[in-house]
Amino acid sequence: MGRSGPLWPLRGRIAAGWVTLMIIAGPAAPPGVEGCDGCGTVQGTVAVEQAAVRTEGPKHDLDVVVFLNRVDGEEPLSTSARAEMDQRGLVFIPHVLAIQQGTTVTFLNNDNDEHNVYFLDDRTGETLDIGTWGQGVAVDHTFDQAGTIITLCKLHLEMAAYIVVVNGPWFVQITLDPSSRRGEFAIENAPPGEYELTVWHKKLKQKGGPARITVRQGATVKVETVITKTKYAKASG
Amino acid sequence: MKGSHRARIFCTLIFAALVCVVASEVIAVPTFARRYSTSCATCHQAYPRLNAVGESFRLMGYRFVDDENYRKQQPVELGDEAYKRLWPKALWPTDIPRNSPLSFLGRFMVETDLDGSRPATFTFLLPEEVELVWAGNVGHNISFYGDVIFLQKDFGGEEPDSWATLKAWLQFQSLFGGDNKFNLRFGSVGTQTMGLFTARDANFYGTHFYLYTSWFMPPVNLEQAGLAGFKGNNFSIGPQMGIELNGVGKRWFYAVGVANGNLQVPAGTPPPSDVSFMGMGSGSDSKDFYTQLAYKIGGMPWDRSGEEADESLTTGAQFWRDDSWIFSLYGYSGTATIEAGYLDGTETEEEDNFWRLGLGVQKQIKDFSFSAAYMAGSNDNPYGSLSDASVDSTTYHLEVLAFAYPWLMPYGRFEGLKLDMPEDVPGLNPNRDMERILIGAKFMIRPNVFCVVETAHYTEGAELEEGFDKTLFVLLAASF
Repeated sequence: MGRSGPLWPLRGRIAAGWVTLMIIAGPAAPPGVEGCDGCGTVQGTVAVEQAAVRTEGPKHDLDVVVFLNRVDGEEPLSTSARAEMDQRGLVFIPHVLAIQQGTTVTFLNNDNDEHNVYFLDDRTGETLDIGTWGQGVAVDHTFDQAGTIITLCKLHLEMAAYIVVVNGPWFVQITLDPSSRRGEFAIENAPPGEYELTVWHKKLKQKGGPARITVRQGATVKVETVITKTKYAKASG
Repeated sequence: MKGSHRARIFCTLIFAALVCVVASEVIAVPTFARRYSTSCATCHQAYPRLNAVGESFRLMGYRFVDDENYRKQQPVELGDEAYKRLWPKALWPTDIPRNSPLSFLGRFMVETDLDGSRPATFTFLLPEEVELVWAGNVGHNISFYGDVIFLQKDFGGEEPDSWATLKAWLQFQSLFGGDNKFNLRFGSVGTQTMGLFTARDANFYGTHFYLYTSWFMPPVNLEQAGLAGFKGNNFSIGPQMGIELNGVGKRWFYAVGVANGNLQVPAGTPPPSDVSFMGMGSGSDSKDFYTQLAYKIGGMPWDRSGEEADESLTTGAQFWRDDSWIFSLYGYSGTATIEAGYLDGTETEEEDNFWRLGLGVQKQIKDFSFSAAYMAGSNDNPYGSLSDASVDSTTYHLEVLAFAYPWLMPYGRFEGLKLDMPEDVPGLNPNRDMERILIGAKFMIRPNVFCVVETAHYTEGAELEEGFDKTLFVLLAASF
């Protein structure tokens, strides 16, 4: 069952086949980042304010992605890494998947039922249906452009997942503590330079927008961030 | 057999039963306590009367501001939110309550005759009513409500009867123009919007509904009038079948509706069949119209605007307080078919055009609540072929409630009804004026269990309320 093209506005590439095992567990480590001399570290916290987060269920709200974008004119970095998203028990697993652009994601189906994979670009509203397949079949898709891709199954309307595609290796996916609604992050091996630090959450927005930070040679930058409802995020701060 | 039974009730007791407890409103929905894992006191001063938080919750379509912050029971999604962006190429997503939205309420009444006017000193209505209520939301912009009320009425110790009434409505909210500015309701309209905002039966403390909502045009005595049958104007202020547009802002509320009208029986009387939807009207091309307007000065805004999310459930240490003025206006215009059947077999059918217009005010200050209202009305032909006379009506009341303790609320109400009745209708007592004083106290045994002790003293028209003057009503109610 071959699947190739068509390439769509999200500029992905799809292919199909039986997959070899690939497991992504826990917070995703930035792929392809080698330790580098003189690089810095960005550490910080993410706290939820004035908003409720669903702490249970397959579509809980505890996943957060923190990533850095260079603002000094450096070209985005691509990768040939691979990741995996399963459909099992009428649930996309994981619910949030952070990847570097260029990553190929294998979409599995481990249900005794057909599933569909349908992408909605969160920014542009563009859509792409990469197909419907049954148990045991897997389809690859490569994400070549940064952005948030809402992943849906048109056969089971409640199913949804988020693929956060970032344009460099400096990102981390964390899970908020359900009781304190806070989380800590650390992004290592960031070359010295100017960055925008973005905190992504599927429902909440970073208060005050992306934070401008400067990474200095061998230094650690500490950043405290807040995510909240859109109407409160617009306030300064 | 059933028909003669009912006719006997009407002939002997006229509308005595009507001015006592009638089950038209059920406004305690423990389902919501379950949804938010919160006490009844979050939304009620002393249920069913709402406090400022509960009033806002009701007006905003059973949602708090930043509602998801407070929900402990997550609804079941019938589609991911993202599908909203894919419409019209996809179904618009929504959700349904995770658990059954059912609540149960029970009312248990003992009526004690204090002056020997009843056949029995003690009348047990145990239970008086059992109510099944469902309410909730379907997604963000649809709310629903329904109830089935199984009730037993004793009609003053004279004639027992029992029946079941149903209500159900579905409301589409925030159709345009902002949150809850234009909501469209279908079904049993007039739940909390028939009558004055400041004097709603659904918001009362005691056992007697307001006189101004429960009275209806007195029927004629068939035997004395020489009639085989008579259907008069059965209008009283209560839910009916229809369509309603309503909306709420920071300080204002409105509701305008069109109802079927031409009620088959007055609210609170035995319905045409043992199980009936409330406010069932006979088919007629002329529909009735009503409006309810309200404006609030001071206190908590109805739409909770200007508040931070974390304040949404905050009313202060005294959850019943909300220092404020509320002014309300109510108007109703309708047409009823008046049918008379004579013993010689002839039948007549005429129309009665009528209207009601009322003003009300409610002042809450610290632990006290004061309410006053005045309503005028006119029926141009309420007795059809029996009389050409019109009937003007006025009703009024003064009411005071107090919180002596969070669990003890003494109250009193003075209310009256003046009817300018025709003198020439056979079988109709033209003297229908009535005034009464209700004195009572409500005891909150638990947040969801209360007891009311209330007595009625009639200063005028006691004979019209056979068995209700100088009677002590003890009501025990629970909801879960």
